[in-house]
Amino acid sequence: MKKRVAVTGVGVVASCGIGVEEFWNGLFNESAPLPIRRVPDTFNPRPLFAKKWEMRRLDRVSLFAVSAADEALVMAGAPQTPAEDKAVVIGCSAGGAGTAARAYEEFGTKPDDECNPLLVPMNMPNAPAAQIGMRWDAQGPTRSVGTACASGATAIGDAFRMIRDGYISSAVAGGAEAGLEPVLINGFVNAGALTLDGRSRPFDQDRDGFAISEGAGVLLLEEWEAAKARGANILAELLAVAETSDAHHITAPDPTGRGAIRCVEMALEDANLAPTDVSHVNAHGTSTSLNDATEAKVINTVFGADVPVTSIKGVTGHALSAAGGIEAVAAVLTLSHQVIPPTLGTSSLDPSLPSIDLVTGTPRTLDGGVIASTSFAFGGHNACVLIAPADNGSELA
Amino acid sequence: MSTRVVVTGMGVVTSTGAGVEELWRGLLEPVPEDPVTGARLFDEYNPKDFFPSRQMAKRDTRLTHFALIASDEALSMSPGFTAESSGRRGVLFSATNPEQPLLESMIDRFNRTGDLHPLSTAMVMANAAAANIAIHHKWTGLSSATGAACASGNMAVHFGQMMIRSGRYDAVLCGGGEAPDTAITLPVLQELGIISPSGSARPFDSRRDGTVMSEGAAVLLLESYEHAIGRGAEILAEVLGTAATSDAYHIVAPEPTGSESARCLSEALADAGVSPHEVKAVFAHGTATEANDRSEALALHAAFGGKPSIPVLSLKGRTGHTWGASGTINCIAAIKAFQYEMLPPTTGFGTYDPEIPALNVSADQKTWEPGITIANCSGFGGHNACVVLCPFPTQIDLTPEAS
Repeated sequence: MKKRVAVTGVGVVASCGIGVEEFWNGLFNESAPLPIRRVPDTFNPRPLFAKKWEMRRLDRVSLFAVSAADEALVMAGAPQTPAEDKAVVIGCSAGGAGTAARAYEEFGTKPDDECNPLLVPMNMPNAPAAQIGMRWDAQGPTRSVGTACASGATAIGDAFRMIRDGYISSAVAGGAEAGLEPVLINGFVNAGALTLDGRSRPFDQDRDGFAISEGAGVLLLEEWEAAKARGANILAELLAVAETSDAHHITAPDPTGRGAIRCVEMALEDANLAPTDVSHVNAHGTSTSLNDATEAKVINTVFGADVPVTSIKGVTGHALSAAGGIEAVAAVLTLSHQVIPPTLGTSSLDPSLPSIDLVTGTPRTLDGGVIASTSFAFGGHNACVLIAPADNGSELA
Repeated sequence: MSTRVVVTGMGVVTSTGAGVEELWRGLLEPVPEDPVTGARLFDEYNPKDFFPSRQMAKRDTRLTHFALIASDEALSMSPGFTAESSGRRGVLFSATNPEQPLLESMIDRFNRTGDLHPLSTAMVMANAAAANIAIHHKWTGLSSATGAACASGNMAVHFGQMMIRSGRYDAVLCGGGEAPDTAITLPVLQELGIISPSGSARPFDSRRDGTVMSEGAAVLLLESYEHAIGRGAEILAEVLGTAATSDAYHIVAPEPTGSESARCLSEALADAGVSPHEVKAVFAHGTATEANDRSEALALHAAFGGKPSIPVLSLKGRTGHTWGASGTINCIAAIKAFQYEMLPPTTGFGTYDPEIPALNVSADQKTWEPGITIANCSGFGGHNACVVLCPFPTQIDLTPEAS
């Protein structure tokens, strides 16, 4: 018997805002044209730790992750799940890149015995998941998943299946990334992925790449009946997550969009939904030429031209492994507020793209229904998350 | 009854060479004469021997190379996959510090020239090896880096088993690897105090003084029983059960009583539907650090309700610690032990540590009647992952009436 999966908390650290309220408000304000969009300096994880040295054992990426997880857990009312029934899955692909780069740059300039002995445990991509697990006393499976820019969504999929199939009863799941090191940024510049003028314009005819960003976004997932039994405030229902691989190229998406189309269709099939049940697509929309062209084809093929589409990356920039988590949080908030944030940064939809109904300029009212959040990554990893309102009346077969 | 999961291929690269036969040969050899100083590497590795395309030999990283070599070997043991249903096949492959060598060389090049290869950022990500395996074999289901530090290899097997049991997947390449030979990695691990100053890993020995850093990659091809039979594949072993737990204790140190590691062993046995007395051998994590071997011995005692009467062995005295690969290497060595009806030795072991709960460490190679075997591993971050393997044809009664 498959279990239903409830979302009972969300937490976020993003360039446009720290914490759910600031983040949501931030989505409606045009960002300054910056190619590198850092989490603001107001981010202060210090209160999360009793001692300063405890905090220094975490790379920035883990600090983002534990901060977002704490927010989600507080929002959910700190559910008392047995430790062995709790899991943590956090998507992360660059690991503690800052710690690794600092350690390497300092190497040779100091005696070896002054090097950072915690380099490996701070840098490993599973560190954010492990750090959340230690704070939350999660003794079920904890792990990272790495699917580059789809990692956050893939992590949500992993946790979703563990709850649905009865392995565990609650999980913190999402993505985290803090990869704004000059060396990594330059790699994206040379790959032609970064915007030259700092304007992230998803699906715009003048788009020239993404603004690179950082942060974390997580959901607290609970088995539906357990959440109801404890009187939790259920924010949304996670209906399905599907993942596929293009198996095409390490950076370029398969231009036919085959793998991505199959991914969205598999998610719909898994949730027993028709494309018309989806009332809004929160798109990956990186604002690179290739991603947006393929994604418009995917949306048009699966959903047609009439479903409202938005990409928040015009504001948030592209937070890589965190993006799928941050966008899942945005999707839950879109359901709560019944408002679709506009695709800021975009002024004229690229007429050469297959037709999509991109929400630009002003917000639009959400007309009930299910939200699809899509992620398409370097490496050809695709993921699609389907989120429904809590009172969606779904009866599980 | 849930889907049965079997192993139909395996591949490995370690310091003893590429290929499962090379691994087995190496395990039976004495450790090289001169103890290495903290690192044991695949010194003879030359990419051109494996990658005729110069572009591939030069462009991809050592970790991705090892991952591709291991997965090629696994699939060559089990040919016959066609393009049809490629979406029902997935790839899980991870490491502890996936592309640290590339990151360091990128920093060097960037500081020198201010310029980088356009693909470098994609290649430095944790998912690069998994994505490259999927691209190389055109497998179009989930491909992902399932990261759990030194437990990554068995975490992938656990995750892959879950994927196949879900009914969505026919086959998953599962494993892990590591290529940690960088300027900085060995010094920081020495500073952390886990590297053997004597250069010898001595698992469970009273003289043990740390582990030996090593490298490699290991991959199991997991497949649903029905699919394997349907395509006439040779079945090498059955994955009876798996489990994953977390200490939630410390980012480096294992929980000192081994309680969550014990629960991982017990849950894997429960998942397999077997009791501890049916187990015939344990391929332990046995890193030869003070803390790991103590907590692992405690965990085995807890899971077995006292001292396990069966042989317990660790390969790390010979292979060194291959981090992300190590759990999967335990699985592969166990399957070779099924085939050769022989247990490899625990190289480096001499005198059992009297300060820790007693185990029957299998010091020397010996003939052995194959049976249900545990492959164990744990990692930084407190991740535990355990796999229960059984020779095929399975000797125990798995009919629904019996369970």
